[in-house]
Amino acid sequence: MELNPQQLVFYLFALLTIGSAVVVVTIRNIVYAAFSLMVTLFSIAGLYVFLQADFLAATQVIVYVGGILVLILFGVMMTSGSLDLKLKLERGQLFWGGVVSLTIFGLLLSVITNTPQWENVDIGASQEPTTRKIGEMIMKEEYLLPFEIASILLLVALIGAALISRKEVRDE
Amino acid sequence: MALQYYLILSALLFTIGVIGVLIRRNAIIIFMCIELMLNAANLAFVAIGRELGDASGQIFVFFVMTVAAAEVAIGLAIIVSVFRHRETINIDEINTMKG
Amino acid sequence: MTINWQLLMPELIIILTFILVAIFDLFNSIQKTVAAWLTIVGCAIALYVSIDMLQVGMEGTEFSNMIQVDKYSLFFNVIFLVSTILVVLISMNYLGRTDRRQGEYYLLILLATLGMMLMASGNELIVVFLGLELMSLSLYVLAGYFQRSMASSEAGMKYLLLGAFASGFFLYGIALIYGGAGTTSIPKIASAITVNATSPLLLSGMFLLVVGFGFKVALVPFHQWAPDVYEGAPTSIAAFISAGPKAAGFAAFLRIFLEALQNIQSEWIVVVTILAALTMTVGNLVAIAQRNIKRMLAYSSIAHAGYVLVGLAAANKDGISSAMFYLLIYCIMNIGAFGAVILARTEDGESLMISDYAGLGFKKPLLALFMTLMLLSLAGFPPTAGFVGKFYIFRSAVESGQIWLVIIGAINTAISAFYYLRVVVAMYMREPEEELDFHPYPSLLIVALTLAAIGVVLIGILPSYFLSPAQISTFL
Repeated sequence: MELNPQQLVFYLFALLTIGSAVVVVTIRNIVYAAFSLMVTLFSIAGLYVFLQADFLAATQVIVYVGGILVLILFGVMMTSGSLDLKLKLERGQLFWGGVVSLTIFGLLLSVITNTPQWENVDIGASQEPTTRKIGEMIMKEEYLLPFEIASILLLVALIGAALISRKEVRDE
Repeated sequence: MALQYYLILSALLFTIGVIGVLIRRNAIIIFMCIELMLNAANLAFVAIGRELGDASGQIFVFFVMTVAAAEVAIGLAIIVSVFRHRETINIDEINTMKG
Repeated sequence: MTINWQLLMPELIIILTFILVAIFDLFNSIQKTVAAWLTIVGCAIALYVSIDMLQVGMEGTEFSNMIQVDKYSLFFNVIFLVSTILVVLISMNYLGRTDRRQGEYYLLILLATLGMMLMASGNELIVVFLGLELMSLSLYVLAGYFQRSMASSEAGMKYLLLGAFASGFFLYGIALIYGGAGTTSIPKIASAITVNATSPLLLSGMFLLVVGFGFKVALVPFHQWAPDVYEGAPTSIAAFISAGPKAAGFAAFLRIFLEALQNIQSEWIVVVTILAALTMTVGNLVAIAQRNIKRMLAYSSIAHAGYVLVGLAAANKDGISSAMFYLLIYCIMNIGAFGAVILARTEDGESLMISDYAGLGFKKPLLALFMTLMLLSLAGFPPTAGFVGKFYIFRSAVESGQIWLVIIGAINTAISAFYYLRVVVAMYMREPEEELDFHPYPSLLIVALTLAAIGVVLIGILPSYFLSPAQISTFL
């Protein structure tokens, strides 16, 4: 099988994504897991570029890697005096987790490969940036309401996180 | 690349996330695995959206990112507050309730 | 873009109330109850507006078909707002003794209610998802509200981890449906399905949605979080989680499965039937073994989700209307039961063991009366509301030929009578083991319980008056 450069890059990113995801799930050291998650998130950003979702790729890096992952690292640091936490993998758990998950995966795989209508349909690569289109869809067209709900959602996060992490103060 | 490859990749990622949630006992790691699941869904959204020539797929991803960020903010606040009570975040040890 | 704001009045009133409560809470640290009263007034106005819109029959879509306001969503608005008002009433005395600032508590309750309303009226899977998350995130925080209590923090964490896990399934299901149908708009999915009958992607997406909903409304085998969360969370929040959010989950569940996926009914009806039978049976059987009353009520609420699911398994117009009717009744009686648990408070906390209720019938007649009424209604004794609710659900299932499911349901009702009556028997026929020092009755809690009791009795005696709005409100 001859691989063209495009395919090669795809497989590289795919391998990185899966490989680092497996590390997240299996490694004992929680900090390594967090950094491995970073690799996963970066390679997914790479795949977005591949899918011509340029703006989204940038957002992925900024929000996921720059925001969510940093928050998780803070969580790691705040919850453990030593960074190395004792993590145990039990046999039974591993077994059942594996069985359940492999069933799901088998199902999904058979579904995906059995879906007939997509056989290498490649839309002509339209290289124009998606930013404008996305902005218009969110602010002017149909996705205005979800956008507003998302802002309320962030408000909940703000109130909730402040409420929970604040030291309990007696007023009066 | 054809859509199928992306979907298989996304299914694989989703499955790894599910395995992680089921076998790991550390609350923060479980959180990371849930992020893997959400990212798998995002990848599927973007790939399908491109196939359909529909930008909605990408917009869903924005909303999912918002949700993920909000979930992590609240989640870590709760995990830290549990940690204040007990110096562990291993969810098997956190089990004062039985029945 | 011009927006018909009239359609969104209930939602707007809730948002306005939210803003008012936030402002008052900022400047007013003396009167703790202001926030609660504002919340109640706001919800009452929204309730009035919803009922008015329901009577006028105002319908329409807004925000380019993102949201569908119809009688169905308005009826659910009524359920959510009634539950919220009752929960705020039972919360005020319950929180009264803790010295925390309470503004945030009511703010989050308001936002959770807004999320539920969006779930019921969402016409697009992404709106339903965002509504679900809005509701769930508020609830995670509320479950962990008692920071000083380990159990409450734990409840918040368990709820959050399992809730986020469920959201992952739900979202992946949406992604696959998007792939299979090419759209996430509920009516468009329905028309896409008629074109190319069964895309396997769509089918697997549908099953993932069942798993996601299963977690959210606590169906067996996805129910394990419920008892722990109910036990650990503040009792008023346990009442809240067991009522409105469950109704909201079912609102979206019914709308998605009977509107968008109606054409592939044959594919999911077996799964739903099995889940309904399992949920009723396991919920009731495990409830028998419980000694803690909050856990017992948790398993009982799981079993009740099974009864509602029978309405979905019936998959006809009557099934939907009886499920809506049942959810209204269930919310009132379940909040009432949790309210009675709060009422039975001792000096050193709540009396949560069933054995602690021994002898209360004569020592605390009013408490015992409320508790008995709510439990009889939950068990489905005539002439309470619980009886008529179950009756209509089972009748709709018989009509659609689900005889076996009805038989299982009837057996389960008999089983459930056992553990509900056990508490009643303990209250009236047993001597107390030790002298417990009970709190005096808080007045607002009595008001809430009286309202719930009136509701339970009134619906039981005049069911048609409440059932007919449900019957004209289905979307089929």
